[in-house]
Amino acid sequence: MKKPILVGTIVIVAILIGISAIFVQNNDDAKINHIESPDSYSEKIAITTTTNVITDLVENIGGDHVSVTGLMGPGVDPHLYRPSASDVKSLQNADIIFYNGLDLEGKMGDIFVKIGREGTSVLAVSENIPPESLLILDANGNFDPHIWWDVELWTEAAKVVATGLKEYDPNNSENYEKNLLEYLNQLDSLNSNNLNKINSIPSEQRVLVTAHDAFQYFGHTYGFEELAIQGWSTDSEAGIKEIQNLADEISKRKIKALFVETSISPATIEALKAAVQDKGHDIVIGGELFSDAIGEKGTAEGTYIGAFTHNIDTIVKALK
Amino acid sequence: MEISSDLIIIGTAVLVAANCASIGVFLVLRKMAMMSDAISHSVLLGIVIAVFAVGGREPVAVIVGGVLSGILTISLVELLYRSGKLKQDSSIGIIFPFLFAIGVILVTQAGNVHIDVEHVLYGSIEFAPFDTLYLDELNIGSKSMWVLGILAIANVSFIVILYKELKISTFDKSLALSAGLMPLLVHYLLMIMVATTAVVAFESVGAILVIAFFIVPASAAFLLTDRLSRMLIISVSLGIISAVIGYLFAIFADVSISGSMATITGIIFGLVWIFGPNRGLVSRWRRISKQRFEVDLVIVLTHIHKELGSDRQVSTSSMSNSLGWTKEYSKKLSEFIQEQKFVEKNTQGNFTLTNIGLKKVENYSN
Repeated sequence: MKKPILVGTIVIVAILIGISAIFVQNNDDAKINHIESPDSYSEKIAITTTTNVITDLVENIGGDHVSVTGLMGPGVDPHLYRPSASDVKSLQNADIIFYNGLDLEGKMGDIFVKIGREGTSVLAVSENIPPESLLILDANGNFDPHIWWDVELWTEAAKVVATGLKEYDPNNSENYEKNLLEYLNQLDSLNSNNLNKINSIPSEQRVLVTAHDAFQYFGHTYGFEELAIQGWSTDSEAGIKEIQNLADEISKRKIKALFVETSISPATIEALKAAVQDKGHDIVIGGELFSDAIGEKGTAEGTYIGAFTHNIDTIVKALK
Repeated sequence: MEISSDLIIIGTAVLVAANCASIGVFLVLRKMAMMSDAISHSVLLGIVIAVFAVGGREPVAVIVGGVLSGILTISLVELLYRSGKLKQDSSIGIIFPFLFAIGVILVTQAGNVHIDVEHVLYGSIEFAPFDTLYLDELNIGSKSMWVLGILAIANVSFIVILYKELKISTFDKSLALSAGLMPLLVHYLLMIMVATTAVVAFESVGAILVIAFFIVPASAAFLLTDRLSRMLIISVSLGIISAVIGYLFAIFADVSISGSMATITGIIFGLVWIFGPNRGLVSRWRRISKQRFEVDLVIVLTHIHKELGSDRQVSTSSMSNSLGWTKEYSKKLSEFIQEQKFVEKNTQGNFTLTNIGLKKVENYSN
C-alpha cells in the first residue's frame, strides 16, 4: 500500500521536471526566433520602469521610439508591490531599466544595480539630483525618495531619462532632445500654474494632513507644512497618542481639510477625522491625492502633469 | 553562464522545498508547525537592532539579526512550554507577538526610521534570476541558488547524521533520554536549523513561500505514511511538485510566482486530505459505509429469521418498512443476500432462508 505512493510520487516529480524542461526549452526557442525575425515591435527600445510616474516620464521623452512596460500600476504602494511572472520577463528583456532610486524600491533597487552590472543599462532617475536638494527622511539620515512632487527635481529626472535614451540610441538623439525640451516647457508651465493656484490659499491654511509623508518635497516647494500620521514605512501603524496629538493641533489651528491617498487605505485618515470632530472642530476629507502612484493610463490623471494638477486643484478647493 | 530565468526560478523553488519541506517534517511531528510563521514576524526585532547597529540595511547584518531573533523566539517558546503550564501553540502565540511588538516600539521610538520586513529582509523568488553573486567581479550565478544550495547541504547532512537522534527524540522523548541521546540538545540544534533556514530563505524568496513549504507538504506527507524516512521523501517531493506546477500556473495566469506555488501546496494538501489512501476523506467514508453494510447484512438476516420463526412473511417492501431503510437501500441489500445465496425468493416475492443463510445467522447469534 505504501511503496506505490513513494514510487508514484517520484515518477510524478520526474515527469513534471521533464515537462518543465521542455516548456523552458520552447520558451527559449521562441525568444531566439523573435530576435532572428525582427518585426516592427522589436525595433522599439524595450524599457522597463518601476512606478507609473516614471513610466509616464519615459513615454513623454521616448515618444514613438520606445515601448515602456511599467511594473507598478496605479494605486500600487511600492512597498507592497509583488512581482508577477511576466514582470520577470520584462526585466529580462529590457534594453533600459529606469527606476526611482533613493531606496523607494527597497531591496529591488539592489537587484537593479546587479542587472546593471550584467550589461543592461539601468538608471535611477534620481541619480543626478545633488544631495543638497534632497530632503532628509528619517533619523538614520536617509533621503526622501518622493522627488516627483517637486517639479524642479522631476526636471532633473527627465534629463536623466533623455541622456539614457540618447546613449542607447544615438541615431535618434535629436528626437529625444526635442521631446525633452518640449516636456521641460510643459513642466515649467505646470509649475507656474501651480504657484498661481496655491496663492489663493491663505498662508495659515497651508497645512497638508495626510496618512504618510509622501509630500515633503511638495510642502518644501509650495510652502506647505506637512503633518503625516504614519511614518514613511507602511509597516509602522499610527499610535493612539500620535493621532490624539495631531487631532489637538488640527483643531487648535482650525485646519479645514484632511487628505487621503490613492495608494493607501483611508482608514487612518477616517480615524483622525473622527478624533478631530470629537474635539468639536468640524473638518472634512478634502479628497484623494496621488502620492506613490499616478492615475490609470488614458484618464486625465494618468499623466504626471494631470495627476499633479488634480492634487493642486483638490488641495486648493479644500483649503481656500 | 547564461542559465534561463525559468530554470533558476524553478531551481530556487526546488531548493526551498528541499530545505523547508524536510526540516518542516520535524516541526509538524513535534507540533511546532507555526514556528516558521512566528519567526517571520519576530525577525522584525532583530532586523531593527541590526539596522540601528550598522546604520543601514546591510544584508549580512540583517540576516544575522534575523537569525538571532529567530533563535530567541524559539528559546523563549521552549522555556514557556517546558515550564509545563502551556502547550506549544499558546507558547508560540505568546512569544512572537511580544517580540514583534518590541520591534514595532523600537521603530516608532527611533522616530520614523523606515524599516519594515518587506522592505529590508524579504526577497522575492521572481528576482532570483537577477540576484547574481559576484566573486572578485566574476559573476558566479544566482545568489539564491548558492545560498539555498549550501543551506540544503547543511540541512540534509544534519538530518542524515542525526537521523536516529531526531527520530527517537521526536517520537519518544523519555526513551531518547534514557538511551543517552540528549533530546534537549537535539531539539535546540533542530530549532537553530529552523531559525537559520527560515530567515535565509525569507531573504531569498520572501515569507509566504517559506511558510507554506515548511508546513503544508509535511502535513500532506503526514497523512500519507507512518514512516519517518518516507515522510521526509514524500514531503520534499510534494514540495517540488508544488514548485513546478506553481511555476507553470504563474506563467499561464501571469500572477505572483511565490503566491502561485504556495497556493498549489494548499491544493495538493487538499487532494491528499480528500483522496489519500487510508487517511483520506473518501477512503474513510468508503470504509465506514462498508462497515455499515456489513452490520445491516446481519440485521436483515436476523430480521428474516425472526419473522419466519413467528410465521410472518418478509418481502423487500416489508423490509424497508420494518427496518426504516429507504426502498433503494432495501432493494440493494435484498439483491445482495440473494446473490450470496443467503435467501431465496418464492413466487409471492417473499424470502426464505437457505442453509447458508441459516448458518450465517446462527454464527452471528453465537
